[in-house]
Amino acid sequence: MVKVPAPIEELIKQEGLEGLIGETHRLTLESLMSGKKTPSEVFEEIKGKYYISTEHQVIRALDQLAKIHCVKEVGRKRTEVFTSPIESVYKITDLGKKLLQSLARK
Amino acid sequence: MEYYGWAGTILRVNLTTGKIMKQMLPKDLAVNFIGGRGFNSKLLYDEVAPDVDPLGPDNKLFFGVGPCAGTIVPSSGRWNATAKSPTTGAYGDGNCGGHWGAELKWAGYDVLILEGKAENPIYLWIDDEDVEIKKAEHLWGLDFWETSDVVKKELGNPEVEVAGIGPAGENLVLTACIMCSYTRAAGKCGMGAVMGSKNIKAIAVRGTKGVRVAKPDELVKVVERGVETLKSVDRWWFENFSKYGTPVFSMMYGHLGALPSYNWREGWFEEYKQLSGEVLLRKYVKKKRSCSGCIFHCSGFYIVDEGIYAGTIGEGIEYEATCGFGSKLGNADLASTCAAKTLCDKYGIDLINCTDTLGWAMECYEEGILTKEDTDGLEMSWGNHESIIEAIRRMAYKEGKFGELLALGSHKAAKKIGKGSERYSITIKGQQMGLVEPRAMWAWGLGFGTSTKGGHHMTAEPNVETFATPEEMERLLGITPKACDRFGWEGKGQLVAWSENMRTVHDSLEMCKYFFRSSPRLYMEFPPNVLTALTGIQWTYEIVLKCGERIYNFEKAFNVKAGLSRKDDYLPERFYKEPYTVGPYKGWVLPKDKYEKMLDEYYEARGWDKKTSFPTREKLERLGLKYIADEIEKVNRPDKVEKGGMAGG
Repeated sequence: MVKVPAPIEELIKQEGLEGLIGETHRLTLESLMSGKKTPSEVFEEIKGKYYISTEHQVIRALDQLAKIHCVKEVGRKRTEVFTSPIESVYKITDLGKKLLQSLARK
Repeated sequence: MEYYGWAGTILRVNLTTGKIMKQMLPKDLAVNFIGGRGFNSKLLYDEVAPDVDPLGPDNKLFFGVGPCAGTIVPSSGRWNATAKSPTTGAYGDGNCGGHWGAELKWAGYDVLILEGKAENPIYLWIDDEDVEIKKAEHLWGLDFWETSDVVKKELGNPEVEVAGIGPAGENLVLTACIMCSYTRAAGKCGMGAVMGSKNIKAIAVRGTKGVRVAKPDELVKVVERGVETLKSVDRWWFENFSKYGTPVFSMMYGHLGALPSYNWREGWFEEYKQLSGEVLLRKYVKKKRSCSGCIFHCSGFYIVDEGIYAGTIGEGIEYEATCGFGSKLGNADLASTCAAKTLCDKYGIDLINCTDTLGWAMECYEEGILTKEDTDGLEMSWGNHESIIEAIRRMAYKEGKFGELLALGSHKAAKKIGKGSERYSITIKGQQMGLVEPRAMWAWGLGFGTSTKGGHHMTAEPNVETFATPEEMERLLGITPKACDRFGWEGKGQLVAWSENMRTVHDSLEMCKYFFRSSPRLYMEFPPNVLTALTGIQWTYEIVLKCGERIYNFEKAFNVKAGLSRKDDYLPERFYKEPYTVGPYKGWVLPKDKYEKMLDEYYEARGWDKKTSFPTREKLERLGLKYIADEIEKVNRPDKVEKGGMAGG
């Protein structure tokens, strides 16, 4: 199990995500360190790593990260590259940066 | 026995003798097979010999609803029609939405069994306890919409729900399906032809009894919690599916290189964005509607008000129509796909089997195997939507030699004309395939191969492959995270076996599979919780999953007795040998050696013999199915006889 900061650990428990935050989330957060992105933009950067082969897996990870306040939806963007023509845009939060450090240490 | 959740009664109608019987639902059937598809599969295995003529009077047609039907459980109004399939010569079923299932349940029945064959056309009228066989000569020849209107009018109640067939079912067209609520179809496996073979045009139902629930307050909480999980854990899916319905897949699969195009020759269609849910919504969908008790409202009511298809109206335009009549036939004209969908609903034709058959004809035409003489003058070139529309009509009425040929479905049609046309019949166990490209999503490929119904996309529907995170795959399902790689073989056997079992549970609850799109947590928590609240019996995830596995083994055992074995679990050679030739995904194939590995892993996960695919005695006894193990031992194993397999369409 990854050791994560206490407030995040509490949120993970509260959202029923125990044991479900891992490498996919680390890769996603790492990608967001370089700026705000849509799921398809994150996917373009991390595809092929840790068996990630579709945008949906990134969307799922981002939804989970949003629930524990590690990313924040900051807008919407028309990309037309994916299933719905308009995608959410996410940025990493301070809590997300702490989680990334913990996941990276592992 | 006092039932909660289940209605507690099986209605049996012998169409030869006119005898109508009501039987108490056996408790062991209820608790071991859940409902709907589960009940039907068990009853089919026990009551229908695997060597009967699918279109003869000895075949039976089972209609099953689930314990959730008619309650507040969301997306639960579905029903299953099951029989020996004339398409595959093996287990067959069609699963359908609409409002008919809830009505049958409110009338007090879990299962309706049709036996024998009526001497003249009839329809069945179920009005709570009162069940009547009525003459239907005046309905024979009408399309399904006309039939529904006439029946409702003569019964004097617009709230009567009608399931039935159109001209295709009457004419024993093998792509025929059973329809209900005007636009909902129990497609695949030729169930409409089975109904037509029994001379029964329609089943009208009105129920007023409601459903007894063991723990109503708990049920409300379970439903609220489930919907909340769906909306939060599966937020993207809930928002997009509610908005676009299944046409959301046009963009998804188009983008992923998984969009069957040009009769499955390609997985890439240049104009795929013209077939998107967004375009459909902007141009033709005027209103959103839903099946009984559904929270999504995925169904679009459409009107085409311009061009040569102006005046077309219909409902429930799905991805299978927009891309089946679209990319699969090289056609980017969205209005024509709406027109084709409406025609199929009226004629009672299954969209998927129809579009695959037309795709086969178009590729044969391109290759010179079929000529204008063979098509009675129709120009069957890619994208020729006017020919597509006309070919559907000829298929339904078996008009001319081309109509007669199309009515066989691509598998039997290819067998009939030969000349290398078999290569272009994209079928498994004689059944046409749903619309996901195996070369782009390998778990889907395996699921098509192993489906008990032949190339059926909804049997496994292993969305978890591409929607779940590797962490969820590993920690919730205990399957290697490698299974999340859509181009990898490892873990796919386990994943497909698990998906098939869970999807069987959904079909037995008769809940829509789209409620359980991608969240493993929802798969695991909702079915046992809802069953416990409904029935008052304690269910767990493990018990529910075992029920799914048990039901699936019944279907498999029926197929084994019908002569199917490992050789019938393969994909058409096209997917192994012919790479995409266009688009950004040029070169993709699903290598056969990798498919073999997935298949081996699948049989191992199922506890089935790898050589034959037969369920082992050990597995069957663990599921409490000793009598099936005894029967399977009497079947000639294909590895021990010179010539194995007698069915397969």
